[in-house]
Amino acid sequence: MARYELMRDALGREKQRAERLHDFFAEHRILVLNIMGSPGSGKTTLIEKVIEKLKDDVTISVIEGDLATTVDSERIEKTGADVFQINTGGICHLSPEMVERAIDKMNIRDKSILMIENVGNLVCPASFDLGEDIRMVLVSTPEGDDKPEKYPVMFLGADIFVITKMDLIEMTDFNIERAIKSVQKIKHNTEIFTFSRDSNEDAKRISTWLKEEYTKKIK
Amino acid sequence: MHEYSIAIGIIDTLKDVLKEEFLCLNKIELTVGSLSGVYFEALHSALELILESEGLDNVTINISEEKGLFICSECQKATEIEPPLFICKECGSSRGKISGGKKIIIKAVEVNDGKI
Ligand SMILES: Nc1nc2c(ncn2[C@@H]2O[C@H](COP(=O)(O)OP(=O)(O)OP(=O)(O)O)[C@@H](O)[C@H]2O)c(=O)[nH]1
Ligand SMILES: [Mg+2]
Ligand SMILES: [Zn+2]
Repeated sequence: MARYELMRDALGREKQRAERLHDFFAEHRILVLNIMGSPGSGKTTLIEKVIEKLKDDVTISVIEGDLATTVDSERIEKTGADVFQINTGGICHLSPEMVERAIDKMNIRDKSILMIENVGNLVCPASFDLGEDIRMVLVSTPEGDDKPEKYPVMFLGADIFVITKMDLIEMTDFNIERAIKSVQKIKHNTEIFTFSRDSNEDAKRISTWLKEEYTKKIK
Repeated sequence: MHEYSIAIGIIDTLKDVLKEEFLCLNKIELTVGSLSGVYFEALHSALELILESEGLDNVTINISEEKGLFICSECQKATEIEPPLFICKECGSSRGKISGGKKIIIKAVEVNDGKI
């Protein structure tokens, strides 16, 4: 019997690919967002609203990750942004390899924003770096304010936490304070936003923040 | 079930490293971080499933846990993190850094001698 001490990172290859993506996006001055949240938490809606606000100032392209269908990419197409649909065929998260293949086929402009909508899921996407600058995690009010406590690993990496469907809050027992507190307990410097589909102000606030991040990245 | 993708990555790595000895694989030892977002049971069954499909159904899989540590900025102590609480167990402060607990490491493998 032979024993080999390996001490290898099981995600080593994924991390190498993610590094290549980070280098590519840095070289081309592309600000990249990895947008995560449960199915139906409002990811595509938020992307649509941000594009509406920023499209006159910044070129935005989108990668849509879904198990199946092109429903989301068709929605994004209507905004005029470039969009590429990845169908994972049952895989519960996007991998850096899928993103590499997507950007090979896309024609992403230098000095632009790339928004990646991950597969709807609060667990699996957390383990995979896609070369992003910003991780955005959405929780909608009907899902409940206990999500950060139940899925801490997702929030460990969150740069922005967005509470969506604020217009429905009255119909739920979602406690904003509690949600924010538990997010800050996991990661104290997470930026926090609230968002309603129909609020112009909400879309503006998030877009302004993103524009600032974008300006930093293209400097 | 991202554990399945991770398991595929582990098996690919082992094939790469072990070459033909892969078929004599006898034991896999892994260290999984408590903050890696990986469920041990799910990873274990995914590995079993893939190994079986490779004709290897007697491989021992040992998974041990590496706890993430909270390095407190108030009292400087390092204590184990118990999610969902990311605080210092010593003084209760929530100001500090997280260290370790995020990786999945293929620690060691054992292979049987001789070819079957
Ligand atoms: N009332 C209300 N409904 C919203 C809001 N945002 C999104 N929705 C609705 O919620 C549903 C899901 O929204 P999507 O934007 O498709 O959610 P998603 O996270 O992209 O969903 P998946 O891609 O399937 O995981 C749609 O019917 C939206 O119209 C909101 O602020 N308020
Ligand atoms: Mg969507
Ligand atoms: Zn302390």
